[in-house]
Amino acid sequence: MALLSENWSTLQRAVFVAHVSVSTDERDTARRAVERAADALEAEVCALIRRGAVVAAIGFPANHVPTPELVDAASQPVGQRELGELGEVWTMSAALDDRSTLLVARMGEDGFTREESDLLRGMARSLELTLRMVRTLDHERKLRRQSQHEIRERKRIERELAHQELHDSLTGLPNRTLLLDRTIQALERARGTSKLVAAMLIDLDHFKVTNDTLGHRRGDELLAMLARRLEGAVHPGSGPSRHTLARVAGDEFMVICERLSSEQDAITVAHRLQSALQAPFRIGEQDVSVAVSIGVAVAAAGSDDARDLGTRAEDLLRDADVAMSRAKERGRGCCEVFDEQMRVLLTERIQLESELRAGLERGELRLVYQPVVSVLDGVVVALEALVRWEHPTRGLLVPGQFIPIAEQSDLIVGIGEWVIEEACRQLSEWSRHGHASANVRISVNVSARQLTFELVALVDEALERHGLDPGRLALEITETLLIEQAKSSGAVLDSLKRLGVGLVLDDFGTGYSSLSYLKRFPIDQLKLDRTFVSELADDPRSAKIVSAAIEMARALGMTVVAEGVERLEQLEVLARLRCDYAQGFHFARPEPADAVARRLAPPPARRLGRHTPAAGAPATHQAPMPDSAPRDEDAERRATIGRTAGLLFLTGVPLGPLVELTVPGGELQVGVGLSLLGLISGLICLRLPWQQLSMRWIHATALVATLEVALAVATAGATAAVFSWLYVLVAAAAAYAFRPRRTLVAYVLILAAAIASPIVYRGNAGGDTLAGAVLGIVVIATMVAVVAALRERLEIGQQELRELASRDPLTGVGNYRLLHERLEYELLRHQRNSAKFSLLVIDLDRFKHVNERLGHAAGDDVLRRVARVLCAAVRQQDTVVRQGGDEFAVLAPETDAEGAEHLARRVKEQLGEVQFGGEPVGAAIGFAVYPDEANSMQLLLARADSRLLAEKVASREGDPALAAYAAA
Amino acid sequence: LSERWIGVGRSADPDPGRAGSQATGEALRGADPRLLIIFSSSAYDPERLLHAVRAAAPGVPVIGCSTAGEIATSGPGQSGVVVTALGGSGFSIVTEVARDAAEDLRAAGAQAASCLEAIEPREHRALLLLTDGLAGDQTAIVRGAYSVVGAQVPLVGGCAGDDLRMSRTVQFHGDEVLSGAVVAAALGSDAPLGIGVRHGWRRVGEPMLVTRSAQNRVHEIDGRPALDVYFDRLGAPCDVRQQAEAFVRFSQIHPLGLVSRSEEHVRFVGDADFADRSLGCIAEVPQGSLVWLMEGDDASVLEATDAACADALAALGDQPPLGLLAFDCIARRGVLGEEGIGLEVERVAARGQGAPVAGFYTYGEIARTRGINGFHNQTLVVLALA
Repeated sequence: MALLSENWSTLQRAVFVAHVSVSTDERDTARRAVERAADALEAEVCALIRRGAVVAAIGFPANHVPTPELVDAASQPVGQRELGELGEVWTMSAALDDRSTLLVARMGEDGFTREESDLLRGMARSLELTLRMVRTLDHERKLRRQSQHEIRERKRIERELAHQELHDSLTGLPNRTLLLDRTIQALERARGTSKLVAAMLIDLDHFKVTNDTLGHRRGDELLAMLARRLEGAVHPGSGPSRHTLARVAGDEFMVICERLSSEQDAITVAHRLQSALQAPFRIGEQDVSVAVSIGVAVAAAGSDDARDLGTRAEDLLRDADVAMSRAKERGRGCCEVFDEQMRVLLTERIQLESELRAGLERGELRLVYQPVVSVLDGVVVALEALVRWEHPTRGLLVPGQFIPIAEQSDLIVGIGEWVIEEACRQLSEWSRHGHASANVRISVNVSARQLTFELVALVDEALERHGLDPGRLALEITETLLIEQAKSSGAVLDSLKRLGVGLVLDDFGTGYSSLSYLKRFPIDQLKLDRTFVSELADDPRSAKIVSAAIEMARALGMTVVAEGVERLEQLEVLARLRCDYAQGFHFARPEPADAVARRLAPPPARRLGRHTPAAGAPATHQAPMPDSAPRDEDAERRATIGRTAGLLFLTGVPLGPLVELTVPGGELQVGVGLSLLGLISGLICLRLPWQQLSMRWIHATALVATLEVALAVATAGATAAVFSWLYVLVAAAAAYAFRPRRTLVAYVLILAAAIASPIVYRGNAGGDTLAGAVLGIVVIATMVAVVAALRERLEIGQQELRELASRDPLTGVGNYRLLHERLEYELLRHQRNSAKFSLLVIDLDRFKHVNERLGHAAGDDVLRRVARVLCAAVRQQDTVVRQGGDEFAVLAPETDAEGAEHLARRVKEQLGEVQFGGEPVGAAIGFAVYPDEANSMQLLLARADSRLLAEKVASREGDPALAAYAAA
Repeated sequence: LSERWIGVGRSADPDPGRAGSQATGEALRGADPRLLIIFSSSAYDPERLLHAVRAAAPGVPVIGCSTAGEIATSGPGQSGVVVTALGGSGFSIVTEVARDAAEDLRAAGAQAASCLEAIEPREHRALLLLTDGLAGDQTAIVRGAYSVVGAQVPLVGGCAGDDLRMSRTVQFHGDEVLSGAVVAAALGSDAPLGIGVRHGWRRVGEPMLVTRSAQNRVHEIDGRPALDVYFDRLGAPCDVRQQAEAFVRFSQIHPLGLVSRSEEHVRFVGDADFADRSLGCIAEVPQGSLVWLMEGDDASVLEATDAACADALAALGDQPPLGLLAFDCIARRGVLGEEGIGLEVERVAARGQGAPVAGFYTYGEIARTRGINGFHNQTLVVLALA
């Protein structure tokens, strides 16, 4: 045993270290340590105690570890004591560190030796090191686990972000980016196979309205439910689907279908999608029904298309978009398959858009005006400005041909700006020239894209720049637009209303008419859509609808315009239904500014004859009653005030001096009082728009003032008479200095003269002669001004009449009257300088055909274009006229036969470029030269005509009627 | 006051049914049997044997195992069955089984030992364990049992054998015939229970250091291959160095002695790996341990028998034994020979003063009375019940 004891302790410690360092877990290490220590020391009990708790113990049944006794025993290095149920035991302990102790207890007789105590201490020390190592390792493991967890977490977040980047957060579906990628993959897979790939764009009809009605949260809910249903319809089976569903925009979904055998397969899927959405959606307490429009585009199978896949994918998606737009155009809830024709249309559309952009800059847009007429008396109360595009090659285009294109780009904003500016400019021009058309209201159409606060600023500036009363301008907004932009447009409309411009609800009845919308917005007029009007005379139900609309509008304080009135019967029904106004071909087509101005001007002859406007002229489309323009109650009220004030002015101003003059001794107070009454009335008149003060008041006042002067001369004697004549001379000079058109000045002078008169007379009667004289001058100057103004109006009127008499209203070139005038003039010139001149007569070849086939509007358009071409083809000194129908004539001064032939050739050439319906508008030309071929006007005309006929016969052989006529 | 009886029956009838019935009938010598313990030859069909035992004593708890030879009062035997019965109100007994012990030996030991908590409190207690000696490191099973039982209650028992075929042993528990299991019976008695543990081996030569080992496999001793050191130090003959069977016969009488504070734990060397020159022991040999080669002879082994019996009986105080249970290592049988073991059993019976003796030749013995180690090799463990 001696040998043994020398090494025993060391060996045991080595075995202990080997035993406990196997484990990497702290708990397991502790267990192994207590077992090994008990084993080495042949002890029944061993425990590792840390901070009053037993970490590991051996020697006690589970759940019977006497912790307090062990902890107590551990506080002594060695001892003998009772320990739980074991009875008296020997104990020995060794500290690992300041918190942990290793305790052993042995039953029986033998206590612990010094050597065993050393061994325990050694084991405790080894255990401490081992535990520290294990803890470090454990800590490292934890750190590693933690960092691995963090890495996993980061990867998860990265995956999530990547997912979010490619998916829509509301529905969880792929977004446009991912869809494009999937489309590329689909095309790649389809390459070299006979299978087709199709793209379907699904767009909710009227989602904006639904969203506004439900609220955005509910709207989102609807979209999410819809997405689920679409998903179900796209992937009907449980297996992996060949199709991809994506949400590409607010209310737009897209499906990419793969491995289709035919286009019909794609249509089947589209129909499946539509029928999946037929059942209403339960949103909150409401059932909401939706309809979708679907555009389908199919990529050619196994195409050896040179385009790269990305381009092909983008094209496919775009084609589906085009098809969807087409489906929408066809009506809601439709499905349309893209075809090449659509691509052609698209290309054309793009082409047209760039032309339109250039056209807008080059000033190719025109405004035409269509009158709005009072149903009751046929008076024109307003004009609707409509835009036309004078396309360099396609001719005159109506809004339907280019506005939809403009609306898809920012062009519409530019066009909208131009329309407002041009309408304001035109109004202002009419106003400057005192045209009657300046008194009616002009309404312009506003598109959806325009309805922002910029529009308010734009209108405000335009009105200011042209010095227009805001009441002269109205904006027409379509019902659909109003509803779709209900939230944003409300404030804009309010601002416009505050500005004073009128607001007209266009196309009423085509959208989802809602009383709440009508009530909410400051609309003052409804325009009933033409679809109601067209059936008005035949369908009693339409009449009922119109009647209801009129009643409703009246209740909301709005007036009603019926659009598209083409027949008298329709007008009669409208009159019976007490519709306020009407518009349509029955009254007038949209016409250029000058034409419409002439239409509105009072008949010049009558004006010349009587010096008064045509009173109460209800003849359907004539007669601007200057004070009849505004239809609303406010305008009516203002007109009444105007008339009353005018009457007071008329009576008060002259009555003052008359009282003064005729009552002996002069009741100055009464006279001045009456004059002041007149003055105040005049001031009220000044507050009103000038146009509302009819010229008749001015004329009447001037007449009275003249009588007054005459009376003054007769009664006040020679001195006054001399002064009066002096007044006339000075006033004439002063009036000349004023621009007589400025009626304001005329008014002021009349007022001043009226006030001055009594003072003059008082002065003559023995008062202040000088003051009387000065004021007298003013009175006379006033009269001169009035006369000058009247004369100028007269001159303008005459000029207009002449113009009108010698112009063709349709084409703007001269008419037969002008031709005769010019011919007479040339004959006179010939007598003086023997200058030759030629006459060309031109007849359009297929005009009748065009007119019949394409309608009168198209025919008119052709005539206008021909007129333009003729004007461009001839020289400056030549005169172009339209003799009537499709016959034109050109009078070419100082032109012989050679010149005339040359001119005829050029005209023919140029006319060849005018096309209609894809074919050139041909023309036959006949000419005659004076005096070589005819020595009178009649002969000249006859000669040119016979040449024309001959050419026609030559070009159209086999026409027996024509041949017979030629022979005759 | 306290009724206790112990009966032992044996049968060598080759028919397991008849053998079971006969041995059980013989063992049931009193009323109120509380436990039957079967030690049977592995030659019997264990199912039929158990069925016969159960039929003979319906409802009585049963534990048991196969053996490498049975011991009864009349002497040692092979190919037979010995049934021990414990009865009377002085005993309280609860049994438990842990199946598939190899999956977690420690847990199996703990589970089997859990029956101790269930017995009604008696002054004297012990846990009887019968394990599958081929299931793995038996030390772990004993440790597991100790962690549940604690230092207050001794552990006693042995590892089942299969007549040295070393292929499959069986354990009995209730109606079940198991293999790879640990069966246990918690014994509570009003009278003392004594345990004696002796091996009778002597150290040979100088101590050696285990320089490399893993569990029960010893790879190097003193820095050299373990097998070479073993052969050289013992001067092993040629056939032992080459043949496995000859090696086992040789190693049975040349175990390793593992030094602890006050005693040697004997480790039976079960096999040799002639290729990697390592030794396989029946239980753990920790790396860094000091070991001796051991040897024994008839005299020393029989001395140990006497001492073990004396220790067990001494623990009973002045009370006479009612019966003795002996767990005798198969290796001791190799040392003593057939004649020697007859003598040994005679000596045990003589010490028992007429009390019946039962037991079996084991593949490892269990007796924890002090410290925490309770697994032994090439040792005789005697449990005396008063």
